[in-house]
Amino acid sequence: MGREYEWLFGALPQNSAPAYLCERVFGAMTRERIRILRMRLVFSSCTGVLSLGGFIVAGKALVAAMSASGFLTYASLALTDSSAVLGSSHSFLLSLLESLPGPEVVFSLALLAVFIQSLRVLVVSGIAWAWRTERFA
Amino acid sequence: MDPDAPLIARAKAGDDAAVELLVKRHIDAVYNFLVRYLGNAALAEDATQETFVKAWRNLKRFDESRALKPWLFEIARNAARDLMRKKRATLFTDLSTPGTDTAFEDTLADPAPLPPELFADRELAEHVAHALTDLPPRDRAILVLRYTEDLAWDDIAIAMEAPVNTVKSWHRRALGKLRASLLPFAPNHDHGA
Repeated sequence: MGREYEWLFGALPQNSAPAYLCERVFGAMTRERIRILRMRLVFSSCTGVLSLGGFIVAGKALVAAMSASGFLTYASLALTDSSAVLGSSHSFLLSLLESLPGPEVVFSLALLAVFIQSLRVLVVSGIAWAWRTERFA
Repeated sequence: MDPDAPLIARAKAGDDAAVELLVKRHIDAVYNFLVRYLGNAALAEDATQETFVKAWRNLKRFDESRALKPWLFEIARNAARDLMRKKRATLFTDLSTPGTDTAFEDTLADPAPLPPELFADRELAEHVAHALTDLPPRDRAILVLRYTEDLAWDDIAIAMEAPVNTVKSWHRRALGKLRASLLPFAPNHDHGA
């Protein structure tokens, strides 16, 4: 039974896609690519600006926390009296680590990482967007 | 392994040339399916474009160990349905809930063979095309995938997003309806056979 239906459908003319349809599909894909890149540009710009602002605020809080905990005093000692620091390097490093304001450091580094990543996406997407737009235009 | 697999891997890695090759390789099959499914060349063009853009957008999630063609037909069918919904068409009778078919169709056995005089008809292609447009889109899709695209049952099931047995049952009913539509074109045949 299947054979006679195969024969029957074989009688139907095959509809080939018009020649321009391929170009139309590629054009639609390029437009879609540009749209996605534009969205990435907007999103990475927003995260970049927000993370930079956050990093500036977190950086100020970090410096304040470092001076409050005495970290800056310990750190300046390493520059001013390096021979004393080298003599008791083990206890000096321990004191330095103890006075490090951990949460502020982690928060600042996280914001810095987000900013760098946003910048990377912004540059890569920006270049790709400019290239595609120029090629498509 | 599917012959498209190396191209799919390249396309996933961002190779535009591989995407173009895949489009060129499958555009005729997808377009032909959509023309038969929608019964309208202009709509089929829009749906073809939408199909390939959607496929390209979701290519990263596609498992290249699977065959590409059934997946493309699945997207094409959904794109066609979305398009028709947007155009508020009423042609999608197969979107209604299952079980709305007549009792006759539900109890239908394998359709009887087609009358031989039908095959001698010079305008056979026209009759088949006409009979196809009279069928609901779901039946049209199954018949075109089975007999024009020559897909296996498993692949048709993927394209139709339904279990294989359900697809086979739909196929049997579709053949019955097609046969009924074609019988008037075989005037000397005993229609009760």
